[in-house]
Amino acid sequence: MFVKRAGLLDTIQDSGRTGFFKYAVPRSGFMDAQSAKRANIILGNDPNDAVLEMSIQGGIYRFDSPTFVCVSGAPMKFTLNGIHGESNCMIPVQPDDEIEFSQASEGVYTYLAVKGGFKSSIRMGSRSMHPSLFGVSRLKEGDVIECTSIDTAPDKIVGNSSDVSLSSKMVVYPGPEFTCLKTPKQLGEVSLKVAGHNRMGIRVLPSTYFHRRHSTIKSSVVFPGIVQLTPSGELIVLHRDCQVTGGYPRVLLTDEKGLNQIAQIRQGATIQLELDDLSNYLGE
Amino acid sequence: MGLKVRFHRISPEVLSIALEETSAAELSYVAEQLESQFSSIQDVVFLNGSITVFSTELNLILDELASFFDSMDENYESSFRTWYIPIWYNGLDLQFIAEKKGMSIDRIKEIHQKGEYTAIGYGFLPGFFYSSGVPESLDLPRRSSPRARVPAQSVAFAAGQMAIYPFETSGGWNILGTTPYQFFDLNKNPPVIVKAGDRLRFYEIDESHFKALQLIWETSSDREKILSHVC
Repeated sequence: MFVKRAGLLDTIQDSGRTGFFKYAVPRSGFMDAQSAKRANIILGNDPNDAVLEMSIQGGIYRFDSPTFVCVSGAPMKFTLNGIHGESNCMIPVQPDDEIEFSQASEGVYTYLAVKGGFKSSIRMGSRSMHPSLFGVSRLKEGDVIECTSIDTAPDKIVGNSSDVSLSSKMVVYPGPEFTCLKTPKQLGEVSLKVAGHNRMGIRVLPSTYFHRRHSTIKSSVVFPGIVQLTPSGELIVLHRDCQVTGGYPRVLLTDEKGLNQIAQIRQGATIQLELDDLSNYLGE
Repeated sequence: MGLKVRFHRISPEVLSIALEETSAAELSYVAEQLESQFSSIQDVVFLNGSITVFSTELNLILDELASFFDSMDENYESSFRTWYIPIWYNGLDLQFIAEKKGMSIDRIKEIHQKGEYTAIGYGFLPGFFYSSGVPESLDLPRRSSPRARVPAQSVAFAAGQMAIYPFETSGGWNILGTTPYQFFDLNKNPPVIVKAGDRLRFYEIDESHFKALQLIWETSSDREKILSHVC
């Protein structure tokens, strides 16, 4: 696949890498794993296969060989050779076909999957692009991403009617430094504004309710799903590319579903947190 | 017999294990043992007296983990190596450090080279390791505003810790200079050489020496050997 015009932040992502936290290498992987996996499943791929992740604004991509594609995630209008295409279904493409994306009407991350998955280079066990491992943070015009030529339709066509969940309510659980939150019971009563958004984490604007009690903790291990409280009172929901250690109190924690949900919440939009017992999460 | 530990379940897949009075080298050793003995552990990170284990099958191995620590010999031996790291003192903050400390640049270099530093673990960036042992006479806090661009392989320190930046990035540590050696190579397995507990010694080189050593490093098949002595 040839990148004729890159989108705002195009990367190749699979389900990420494990086994390298000990060298401070992040997991990376699909920001909204549910949507990316849906696209793969519709094509009959392994759910963890590498896909193109687009953010807010997609690009124009040309295929050099026949294959099948599927678009899922944040709703983003696209055309195949000028004809409007449908999300969440399998679309055949021929050599020289061009798929052109516009802007996402809502949500943040849209996925383009190809039959068999993208065969871009593997670094430390994963195709997920991370600036430290790939030397670049995004795809650019002129890049070529390998994919397998497939001209016969898959035997089994998997129907999938479910769509991206753009819910603004996110379930959270108490984190290891939960007591640093001043009034946790009021967590669910206020709307929080998403102030910043990238692959490392999502910043959520402070509320007067959450002023911290303690100023610092010793550096501790963090991972995607941990919610940190900064000295200025912001919450940061650590996401797929987050570092492995951090010095802010880990006041809350969200699960895989919460990570997928908040990935799709745009800067400026609001979310509500719903605090649940950790024992429910641990299944005790 | 047995190590005293406290288990703290953070999430269904994440377990934090606190070990009392354990050095970084010991933590590193225990973490390695855990990885080699439990195939269902995906990741192990150690930091500040605790080991964090990531496993999608955590529920199934909790009992086994407990017996692992019960049967672990508390007098295990952990070995360390000493690495000799060349540094070209061309750091952006060298003058600033000298002024702040009221010393000459030569004196700063001398103090830095007299120090012995101990690697304590990885964090921040892929291949970025923290070392302790910055002499008090040299030490400074982090810069009040981080630099937008710290060159790759910069040797820098802040708040008692020394580190080498594996990539160009932003950063707030005080930069002394640059080493010609690249300490993180994702084409190698393992991608790093320095382990927690290893000792680091620095020695001064000039620009031409820097270029020569850079070439030697890039083409060498035995980087551990190069690091084991002053070149």
